[in-house]
Amino acid sequence: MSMFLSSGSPFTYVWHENGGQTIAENSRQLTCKVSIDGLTLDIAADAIIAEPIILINSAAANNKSQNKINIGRNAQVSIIEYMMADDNDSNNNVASSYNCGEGAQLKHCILQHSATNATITQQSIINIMQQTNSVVHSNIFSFGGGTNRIALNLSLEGENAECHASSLAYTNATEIQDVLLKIDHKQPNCTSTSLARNVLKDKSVTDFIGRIVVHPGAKKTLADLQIKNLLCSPKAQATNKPELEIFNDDVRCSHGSSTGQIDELALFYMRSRGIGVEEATEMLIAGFIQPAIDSCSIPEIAKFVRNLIQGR
Amino acid sequence: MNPMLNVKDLFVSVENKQIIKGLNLQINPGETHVIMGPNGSGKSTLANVLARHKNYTVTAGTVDFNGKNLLEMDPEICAREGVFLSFQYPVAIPGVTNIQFMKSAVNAVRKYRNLATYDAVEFLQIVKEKMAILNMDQDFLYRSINEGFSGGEKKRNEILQMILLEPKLSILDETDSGLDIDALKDVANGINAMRDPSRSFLIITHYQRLLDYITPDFVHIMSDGQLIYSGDKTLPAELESKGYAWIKERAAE
Repeated sequence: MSMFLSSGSPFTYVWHENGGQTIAENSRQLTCKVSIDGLTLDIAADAIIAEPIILINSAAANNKSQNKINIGRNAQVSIIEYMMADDNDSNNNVASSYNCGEGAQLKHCILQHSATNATITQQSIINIMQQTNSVVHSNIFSFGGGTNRIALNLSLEGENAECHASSLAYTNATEIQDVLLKIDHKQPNCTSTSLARNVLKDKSVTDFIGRIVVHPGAKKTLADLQIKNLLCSPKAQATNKPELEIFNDDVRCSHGSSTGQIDELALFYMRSRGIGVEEATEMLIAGFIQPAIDSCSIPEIAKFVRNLIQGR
Repeated sequence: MNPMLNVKDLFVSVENKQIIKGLNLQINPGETHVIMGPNGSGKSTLANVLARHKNYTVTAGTVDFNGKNLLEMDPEICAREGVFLSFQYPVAIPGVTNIQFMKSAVNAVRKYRNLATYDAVEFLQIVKEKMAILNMDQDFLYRSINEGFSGGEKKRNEILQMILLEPKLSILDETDSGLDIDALKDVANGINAMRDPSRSFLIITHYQRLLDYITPDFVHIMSDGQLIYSGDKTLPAELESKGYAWIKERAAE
């Protein structure tokens, strides 16, 4: 967390929710109310906020926050929800509801990042409603903790709305990581893309459910969902469930799901060039997750995640 | 002179099937050897054994490389000691860029040889110089390894890696297959740029055409897991007109 709060932090606006501390000025572009129960954030119509806003959800013991974020018409903003818990038996629960007005653009990240500790539980429930012509990028990154669950629900409520979701989990020890992604296509001409990459070590477990519902009347829907798992240990366990529910003609929906191990031939190729097993394996893992990092719409987070992974 | 590579009475099996059946081969520093032979005779198996692919089981025989037991080496040690295999089918690795891969490889090898490692700037300069020999575009550096590469690009990439790693023994497994005339010339130029009295080459090929650019010292014919006949640089032309049956008869005499 120190990276976010230190001077030289790439983030100008920081809300530290633990106890309702605010480190930011309210301005004409945005207003914020913080309480022990969560925050309410309003981004004015047409506001363009260059610096990413970071919401820190920190659980000293037991956190239950509810956040409401309203993004005005044609506003542009980047919001990072940073979940962290370090103490034994921490229980960090956050529910955030977003409404993206007409033409609004939201770049959103959920970052769950804790030390590996089986007694920590973290849960984020994110609901994002998208009005006409809005564009949302939402990227999930999850590392560490004990049991982590992220539910990301994107609802395309207006025509021509667009969302791009990604999820990256890198688990070790006995960590459990669930991601439940749901995308509702409710209106015509909306587009969604989703991709997930899970890297599992030791005895960790991941569960990814990707559910895309194309509601009646949502013609010309484009939806794509791709899930890939890399098992780095014989005792790791990954479950993928791509679910497409289509109540409509004239749509193009695709999905793919795969689970595999380190490619022996690729490993031999790298070793035959003098690269040791450990370094070659790390490079192959980095290559495997690259699409999830590339899809991150907030460059500071992409960089932060890349550094985190090197330490895993 | 001690041979660089000394293969004695080698037997190799793959999935319990005997492929190489008593092969002998000596390569001295500076020599270029060519192995030709019908499909299935064991040429690629020999190449893979020498690069220490674990799926190939050596059941008998010895292989010494510069006086060290090559069969005890892991693939990366073998590479650092100076053996390079240009793959018949180079492997595509999504998400890892060529420059990242080559820099890691070159630095791993240099570290082993007690040479200073390159930083990113130094390496970029070196790799650009070498790419010029092979007529390669610079955007290639930032593409994923062999992903979406044409046949010619893949083989140029193999030769580029060879030049960068400065091996003592380069094994080229059908590097000339599937290349157009320009790519073939570039690959031959790359190989010729490497030739010096301390380096040796083992070239596996089906065709005479690469040998129009590279003059071998010895040409061996492999059949059913053995080298059955050895000749000089005139042998491929004779083969091209007469086929392998002629050699088999001659070897049987």
